[in-house]
Amino acid sequence: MLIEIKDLNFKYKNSKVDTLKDFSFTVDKGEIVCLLGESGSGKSTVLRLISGLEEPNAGLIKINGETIVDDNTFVPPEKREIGMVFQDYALFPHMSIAQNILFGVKNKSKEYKEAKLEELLKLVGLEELRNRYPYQISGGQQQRVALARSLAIEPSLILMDEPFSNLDASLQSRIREELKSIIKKTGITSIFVSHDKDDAISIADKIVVLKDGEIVQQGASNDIITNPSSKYVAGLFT
Amino acid sequence: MKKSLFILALAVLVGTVSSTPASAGFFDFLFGKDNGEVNLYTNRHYDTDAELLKQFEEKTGIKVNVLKGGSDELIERINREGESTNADLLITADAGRLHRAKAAGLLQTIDSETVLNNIPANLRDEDNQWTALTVRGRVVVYARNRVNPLEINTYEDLTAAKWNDKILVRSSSNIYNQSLLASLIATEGEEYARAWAEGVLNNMARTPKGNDRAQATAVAAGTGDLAIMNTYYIGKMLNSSNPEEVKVGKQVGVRFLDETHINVSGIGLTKHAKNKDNAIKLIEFLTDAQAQEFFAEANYEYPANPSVEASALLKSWGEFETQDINLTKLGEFNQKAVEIFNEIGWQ
Amino acid sequence: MLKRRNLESQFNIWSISSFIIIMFVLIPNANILLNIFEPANENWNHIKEYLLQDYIINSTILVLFTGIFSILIGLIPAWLITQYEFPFRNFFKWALILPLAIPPYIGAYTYNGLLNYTGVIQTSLRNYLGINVNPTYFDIMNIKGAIFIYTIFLFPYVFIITRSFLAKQSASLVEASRTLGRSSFETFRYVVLPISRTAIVAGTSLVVLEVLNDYGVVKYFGITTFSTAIFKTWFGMGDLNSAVRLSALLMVFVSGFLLIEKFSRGAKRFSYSTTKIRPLSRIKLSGVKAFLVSTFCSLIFAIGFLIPTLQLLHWSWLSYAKILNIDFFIFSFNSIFVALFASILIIIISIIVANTVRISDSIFSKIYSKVAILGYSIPGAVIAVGILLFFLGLDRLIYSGRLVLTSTILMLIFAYIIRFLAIGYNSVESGFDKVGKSFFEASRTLGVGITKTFFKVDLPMIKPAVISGFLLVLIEVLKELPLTLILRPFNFDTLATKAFEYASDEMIHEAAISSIIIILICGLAIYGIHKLSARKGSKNVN
Repeated sequence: MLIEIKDLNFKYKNSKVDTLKDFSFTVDKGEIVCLLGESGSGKSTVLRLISGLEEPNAGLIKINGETIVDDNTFVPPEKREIGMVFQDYALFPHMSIAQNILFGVKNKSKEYKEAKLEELLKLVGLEELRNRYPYQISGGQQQRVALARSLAIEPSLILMDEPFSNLDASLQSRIREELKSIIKKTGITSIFVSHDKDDAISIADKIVVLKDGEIVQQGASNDIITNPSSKYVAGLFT
Repeated sequence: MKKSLFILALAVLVGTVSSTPASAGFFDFLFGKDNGEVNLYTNRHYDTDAELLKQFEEKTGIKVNVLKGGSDELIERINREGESTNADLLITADAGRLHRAKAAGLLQTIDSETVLNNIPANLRDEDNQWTALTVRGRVVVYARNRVNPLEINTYEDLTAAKWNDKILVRSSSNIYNQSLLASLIATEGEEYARAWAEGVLNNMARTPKGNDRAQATAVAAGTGDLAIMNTYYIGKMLNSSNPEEVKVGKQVGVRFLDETHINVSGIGLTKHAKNKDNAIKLIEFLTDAQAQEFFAEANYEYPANPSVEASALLKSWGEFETQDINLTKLGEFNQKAVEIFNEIGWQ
Repeated sequence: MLKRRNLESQFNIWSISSFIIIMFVLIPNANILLNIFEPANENWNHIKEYLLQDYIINSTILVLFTGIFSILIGLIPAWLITQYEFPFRNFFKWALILPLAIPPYIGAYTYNGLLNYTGVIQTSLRNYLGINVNPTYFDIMNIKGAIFIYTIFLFPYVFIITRSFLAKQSASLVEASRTLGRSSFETFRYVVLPISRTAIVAGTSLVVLEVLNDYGVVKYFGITTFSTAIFKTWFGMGDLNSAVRLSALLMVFVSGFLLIEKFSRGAKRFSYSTTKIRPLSRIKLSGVKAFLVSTFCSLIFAIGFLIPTLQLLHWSWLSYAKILNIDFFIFSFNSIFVALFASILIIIISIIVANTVRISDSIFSKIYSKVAILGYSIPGAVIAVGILLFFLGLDRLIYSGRLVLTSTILMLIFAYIIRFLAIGYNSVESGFDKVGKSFFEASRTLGVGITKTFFKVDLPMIKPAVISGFLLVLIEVLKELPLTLILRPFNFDTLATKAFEYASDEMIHEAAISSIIIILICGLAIYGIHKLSARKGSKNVN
């Protein structure tokens, strides 16, 4: 078991209702998990809690058996070594593609950095674009840069927030395939958030369906599609 | 609904302004006025001046309109306004500026026997285009506990080696310093004046900075022993609302020198005055013995009208003799004085 | 085709009014700037040879260091407030804008009065502790002192603009940096600082323009700069031609500064803005760190607002008996009414021009928006000359031999409009930008005319921007000094001129009450603006 999440509770400061209620689930090494739900179901919040961008009111998160959050522990995001791909990609506009990718690589030799950069550019197929700036490349390319950037820190886990929502519908299926093949190539454990069943079906090994901050169903992708436990879940897959 | 509210608010605003009796001037600005008034551009902005003008209004029924500003700005404005100027009278706080206005052709002769009788000739322009209202001396102020005042008797004494590193004075851009040097040029000649300025420069305790009060304060603080400054600032410090300034005022003494340099605040009649008669009435009123007493005392100055006695405080500083020159000279030699200051490097 | 013609004819009221307004703004300034093409006189050669170097050096030093320090004490608290949770954070969010309520010249004489030999600090040391310090240590009447005064009272421009940028735009970039393993300091250095560049430049430009325009502080401290030199050559030497030349040089100086910045950005030219406005989740500080951050903010607040205000209150207490009379209330009211009147006019004009520019795509409308903000970058003294000449010309046209318009309150209000139109205009324009054009277009397609659409649709939506624009202008007009000094009519004092008169007469205590009232009104206006922006933004953004 790579990740263990237990009884997570969370409420945003200005909100009256709990965003997450006693939220628990686990992820095995190498698994690709999709958190599926309508907007406002709390799925993005789970990512923010795992990455350390928010602090839960209660609950426990363990990675590789090491506690990163409980009642007495809080490891800040910069110490967690978890890769995160933001919904708007959050590429630094003042840095070139190369600078963006190497941003998280610290205290390493020049040779290491150069090799890492080559490896990642090759992986995402953007060798030609290393000296461009984010505003000069397409949305799909930006997404791959964001992925390469988060992989550069050699994380044990990658989190992706709505990776396809900012893309043209006509490109989505192609880019899904590309992303899936990149992730498979690296063999990295990943959790991604989506509201679109097609994303979940085509990429995920395991699906966790959320509603109002609670898990309504989880399991292997095929099981959920064939045996939805409720109307809500069934509705998501029609 | 909202629009009508806004219009209502505007109406209330306008109504309030125009109905406030004392701000009756508000709408007068919008429209020209004609009867029974006199327009005064002044560089003096003491609250007591306003009181005196109110007395004039009550006595004569002539309304006095006041525009305050820096002397240079006011002169330039009269110049720009040309023949159609609103200004009837110009008050500045030194003779040099009045001369500048005269030289620019902005003034005319004040045709009044009363004024000639009220003010002695040396305190008036040669052509009677302006006259003094109050007089102040530029004197030496010394530290009571360290200096024997009898050791300084003339401006020349300030250049003695004894006072090396002891003298405090403000910068040469100040008109009072310019007028002092101009007076020395007028009485002793240019070479003497230059040598004197160099001598004072050599004896300075610090590079010139701050205003006249700051020089007295620096004497009290021990930065130097002697300060060159105008008399009225000591009066102001002794009557300050800050007890520490009063203390400073008491720690220093006023020393008049032989042939003390005096300057005046004065009034001139503009060339294109529209209310000439009223303007002359106001000059007569201000130079009259009764107003003079009040006017001079307000700023701890000496009255220009010799029939009026100085205030008790000023008398306590003693009698003094003044330079024997017509104040017109201060204006005539102003340019030369500025040049000398620049050339010798008195900042 | 018919429709289009219809549209244009309706549009005429707006575009004609805008055209007239823009001409009124342009003519007095053009009048002055044409002077540059006249041959230089002898005086100018003298200035060039002996004095110009000093002006350039002093102005450069003032601008450079005030700029750097304003960025430091503007940006750092802006970042701390955006990123961290610490005691009194909500208070500092608006309290650090309050120094703007204190006009720099009032700040200058207050600090001088506080620090000099008879001031409370040296006095206490002397009387209670028996320590006689060297008074030169406390001397702030020099160029370093001026930099201190400008920085501490103008830095809020940088603070406001960078904070609002960071609060709205920085969240995902900062979070990305943190998940990539960068510390808070590294995130600040490599992400926050570069992405805020445009906001920093915008804020610093305001600071720089204020410094170059300021007359009160440098005059009081005896420092020769472009602005004192313009006054001196015009009034002292009666040489308008050289004064205009100096102003033109000053404007070259300002544009040069902006151009250098633009070029240095070079290939990295970008304006970062994400449509996904999301608040940054703040990190809670505790213990020593929280204490240090709160202390840092308190220190800035104390120096920039609390200390001078308390000192002024104390002086008011010492002098109120002399000052508080009926005349005092009259000029307080006069000054407030004129400020209100001018501010309302400026906002109405801003709305007319901004709406015209927004609706029309013509090249004229682009020119309009440039002309509208022209006045803010021209020195106050120069505007004063332009307006005086303009009104004298009008008077000669109307009726010779008598001044009907010159030296009226109209002339002064006209001057305020030219000077501060930029501030009102920018607020209103940004309000329109946020709303966009689609509501306007929807209303038009539903058969409602431009003017009716404006009152029914646009105005209610841009109301917060209009009100904050109004308050900003009000603050500026209340604080305004050089224009009022030169152009005011007979029997007219404002709080600002009264405070300056007393202060330049070395009657610091007497100046205190007028100053306090200015600070009070401006402080309230700032609080109002803060409340407005807090309400219109999403709750989380704050």
